[in-house]
Amino acid sequence: MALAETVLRKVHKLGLVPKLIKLIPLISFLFALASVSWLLVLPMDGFYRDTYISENALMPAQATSYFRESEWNHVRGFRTALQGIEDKAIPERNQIVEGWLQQYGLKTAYHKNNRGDDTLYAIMHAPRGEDTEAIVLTAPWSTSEGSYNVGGIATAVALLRYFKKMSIWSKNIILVLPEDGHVALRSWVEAYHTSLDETAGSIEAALVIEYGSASDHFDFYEVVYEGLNGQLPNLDLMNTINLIGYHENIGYSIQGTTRDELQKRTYSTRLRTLLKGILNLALVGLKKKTPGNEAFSGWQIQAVTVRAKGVDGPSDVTQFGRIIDSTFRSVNNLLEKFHQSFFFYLMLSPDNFVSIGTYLPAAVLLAVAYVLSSLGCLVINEVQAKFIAQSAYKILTIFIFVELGCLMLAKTLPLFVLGSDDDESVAALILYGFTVLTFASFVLSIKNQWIPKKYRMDKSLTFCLIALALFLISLLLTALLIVNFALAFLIGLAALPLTFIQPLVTTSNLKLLSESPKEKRKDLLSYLVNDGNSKRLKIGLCLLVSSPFFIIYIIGNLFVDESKGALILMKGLLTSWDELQCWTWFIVILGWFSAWSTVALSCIFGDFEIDSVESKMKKE
Amino acid sequence: MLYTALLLWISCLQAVLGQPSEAYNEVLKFRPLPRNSLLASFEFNIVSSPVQLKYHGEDSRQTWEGHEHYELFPRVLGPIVEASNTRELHLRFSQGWYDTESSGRLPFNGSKSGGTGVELWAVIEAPDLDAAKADWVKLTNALSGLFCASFNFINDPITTSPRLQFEGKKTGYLANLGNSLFLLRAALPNEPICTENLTPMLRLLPTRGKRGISSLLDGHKIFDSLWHSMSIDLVTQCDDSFSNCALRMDQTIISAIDVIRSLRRIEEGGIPKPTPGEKLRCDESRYHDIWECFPLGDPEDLSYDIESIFGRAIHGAAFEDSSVSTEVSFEADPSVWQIEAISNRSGQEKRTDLTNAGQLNHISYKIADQKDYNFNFTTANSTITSPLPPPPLHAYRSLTGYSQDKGGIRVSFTNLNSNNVKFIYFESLPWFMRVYLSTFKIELQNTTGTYSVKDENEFIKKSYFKPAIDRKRPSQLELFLTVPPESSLIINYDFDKSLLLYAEYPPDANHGFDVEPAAISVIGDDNEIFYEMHTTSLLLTLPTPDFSMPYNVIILTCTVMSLAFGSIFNLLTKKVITEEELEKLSAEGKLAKIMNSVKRKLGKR
Repeated sequence: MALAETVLRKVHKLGLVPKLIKLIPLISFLFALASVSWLLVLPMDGFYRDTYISENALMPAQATSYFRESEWNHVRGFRTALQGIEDKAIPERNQIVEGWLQQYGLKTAYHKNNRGDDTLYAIMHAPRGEDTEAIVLTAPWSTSEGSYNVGGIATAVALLRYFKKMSIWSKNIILVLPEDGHVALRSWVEAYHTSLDETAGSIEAALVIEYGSASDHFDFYEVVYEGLNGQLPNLDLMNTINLIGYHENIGYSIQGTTRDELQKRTYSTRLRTLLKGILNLALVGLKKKTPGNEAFSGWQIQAVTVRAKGVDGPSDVTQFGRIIDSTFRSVNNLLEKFHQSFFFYLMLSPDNFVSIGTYLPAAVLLAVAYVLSSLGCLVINEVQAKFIAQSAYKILTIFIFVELGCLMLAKTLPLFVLGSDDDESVAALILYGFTVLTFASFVLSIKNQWIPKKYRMDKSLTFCLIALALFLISLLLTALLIVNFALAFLIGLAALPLTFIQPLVTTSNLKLLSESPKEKRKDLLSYLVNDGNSKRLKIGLCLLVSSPFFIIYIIGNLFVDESKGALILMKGLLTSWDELQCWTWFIVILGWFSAWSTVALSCIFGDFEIDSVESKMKKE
Repeated sequence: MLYTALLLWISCLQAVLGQPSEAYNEVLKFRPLPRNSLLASFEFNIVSSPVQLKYHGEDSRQTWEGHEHYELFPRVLGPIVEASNTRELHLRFSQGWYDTESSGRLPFNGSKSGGTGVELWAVIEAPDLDAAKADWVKLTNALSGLFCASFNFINDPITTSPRLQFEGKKTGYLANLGNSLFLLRAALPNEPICTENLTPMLRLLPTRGKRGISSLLDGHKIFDSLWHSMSIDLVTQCDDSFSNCALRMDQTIISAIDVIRSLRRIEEGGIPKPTPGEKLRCDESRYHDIWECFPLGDPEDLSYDIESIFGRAIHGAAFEDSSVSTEVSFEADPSVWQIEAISNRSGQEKRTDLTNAGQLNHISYKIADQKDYNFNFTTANSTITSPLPPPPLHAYRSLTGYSQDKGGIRVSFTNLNSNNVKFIYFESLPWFMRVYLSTFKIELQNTTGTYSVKDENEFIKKSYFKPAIDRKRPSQLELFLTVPPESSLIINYDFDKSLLLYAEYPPDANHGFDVEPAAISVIGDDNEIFYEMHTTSLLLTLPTPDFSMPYNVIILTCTVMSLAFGSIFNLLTKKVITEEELEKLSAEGKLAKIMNSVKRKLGKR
């Protein structure tokens, strides 16, 4: 305590506080920089951890899988039969496969989803089991890449036939054959927990398999694990599949690792995996072609998608089956639900991860940057507490007005898309609307002298609004950073230019002007006006760059699809709540966009010193 | 030989003493079911010698004298039943899933099988409920040791007294006319049933699993089945004057065996190995070669004997005594099934074709000698069986809801018949499920669609609900329902999940909590229960803490406390002075003097 007192006295004596206050924008930026560098440090040796199996009951790859030899013949048999029915409609295909499954002693049922593509599912009740728990195997008719999942379904049927012969199961096994891994699967999972008669207990784990080729061989397999709203499967399940693959001597890939990178464990591959992981986790459910595992998010189900990559290579289709068989055997061993290992983690490579405690500071630092910037906005511009108290109603009225507007948009826009027959063009229309809005604010914030004086807000009010908006973002980040780190971090990073606006606006120009000698005033004035214009341009650019819809274009076109990426993302945002219960849209529109709109409004209608300087110049 | 001699001697003794002999008989029924499974039900009936009904209250404990004579009736069970004033005792051990959709009704119309886990109910004579509860605890604790099951965990929070199901039913006899009868019931849904529960069951039999049909009962084989159920029903039977009473015990062991798997186990062991190429059974109508094969379903032409399924043959009749009957019966369609009895004594095999005897579905065969008996089943088409009628009702129960703090239960009753089905639905839910009856909704589903029912009384004729008391008693829901023909009735209601105390979580807290199966008794036109069934049990996830958290909390709390203490103590012991005073004081302090002197010396040099 004594030390703290001494330090505080020294700080006070040296007059550091006002100096620090002036430096707040810089400090805030340094915090943001620290946040990013924190992430960049994580893939360095010594900062991440090796994966391990935490739940000893799992015992991965301990049991010999006999899904081999003759099973290969069976998979081929099913595959040929499936190839023969590729041209048929899904209800017809379901009927044929249902016949096979019944022949092997499984109970089949349909989930009627009123969309004409009822989902077939089959239950294998565990002999002597308690009938209270289940493991799900899902083979969508079409893979996320859009191809006919012939290998996946053939393997799944052969596996179920093989499982049926064993009496070791303690959990029921359910095979689901949805049309795809998107709405069809999600509606089945939802119906399972609300309205289906034929159920088989609570689902402990789910595997979605994709083997989109009719080839006997594949190169390596990829695991997709991102769930909706930041949920991830328990790390133990990931590790189990990884370890089984290791014992089968098959390459294991995550986050789109290529064949060449499989064996590489360098800083750059780890960093790439980490960043891709963050991006993919933030974009989960927004793309139409979903891998399917995110359909199981919620209900405490651990789900991953296992996808065979390549059409030739060292691995064969029964090895693919053995991965699933061994994983099922491991999950079957569990007496308790998955609870031992991590639920929040970032993968750096299949064998390396960072847990929540290690990566969380990155988002915390970012949130602190916003809080500092918000504080600085008030302190630097000497907004009096009295003023805030007096005009609180004004600030809140404007803010609530913006928020209500956003809420209305958030609720109604998805309805337009869902209600229309041509949802693609409606989504495009909405996207263009927002784009126009963004550009309008860009132009208006540059040319804010167009706004008549009487509509201008006074200086303090403007800064209060900016501070509130920045504080809202920091609140959003804080609320989100544990549950959905990726989305929080991405929003935090994308909206960062909003924190640059206040330092750009605040200049002690007037003070400078009043202090300068008369003869130099003219030069100074013209300099200040030029400077003001360039600052306005910078403010406008900051607004443009931090707009959610600008980011949608950037991310969409760079990472999703070269030509239609933004449109895909926009449509995903608008429909993902109704189709998958993914709340990214609400966070974007109610959190990010509302804060952005508030800042944009203050930039357009705000009264800044630049304007005063200009008006002075006009007078002189 | 010694054994039979002993028995002879006992019966001689009995004749001398002039006591009426106890009765025993055993029946083994086989019924091939669809999908190549075989239903084997073992029935053992024992009637004790006459007993004097007595009430053993708290005060009469000293004067209690044991039951005098046990011969066939188990000596271990009699005193327990008597000491706890139990007039009726029913025990069920069941596990697995019985496919009523393809196999039809449960054997014995469901009256001998319980839901998953263990179920126990007893009728106890007592002056009041508290005395009955005391006897119930005595009974469950004694049974716990006897059957190697967790009956000792039966306590008030899981004990119920069913009302509707037993309404107006004469359930037993009273020793003291002032007393009344109490029906108490409890279920342990998460009790795994295994061989250690079978051994005590065999020990109750006079043959001890050595002779007669019980010699087939090998735990490894019985429990490697699709579904199995063991039951004990012990009732007191009296004549009209109540003077002549006897205990009657019916024991059954039922098992639905997967024949193909049992046969394969002999060849390959428990885990199926890849099939050699020449043994692959491919669909000839499809493309097949040495690389490719579309597998056929299970074979339909089968031949198997019970020795290969149970691992042993029947070691002759239960007793050489002719009064004891050992009967084996078969229910199979004689047009496709051929059943042979193979008797064997020291290598001399004798085969008798049983199907030729009569062209009826039912074949009965009595074993009277001490040969080894094996039975062979041969069929050209195993899909044709002698089917049991479909069950009057299908019931599906599942948990609904998404979150950790609340959930819902959905029960669907489907009636595929062309007439109304009346039944009593009994459900007991643990106290940590806080049921809201206000959320109770009924829906009717038929071919035209699903409708929510406004007037519940249309389908609920009677109902009884006893809400739970935390840690004291479970909630109990009983409904007398009617399902219209060819439609489904769907019941939905919500509940909240309570937080348990730290110590109330079991060691495997993350497994979830089993909710016992609901019992359904279907009532016929004569108002008698004619079919019983259970829903599956449910696995409920409660909010479960991370059990290392308390230590974190303790550590964090301690840190905060010590910080608070430190700063408060600091404030309390220090004098508040101005900054100038402090600087003056610190300049005069000892440390400052030493520092100054050091500085001065350094400065000089």
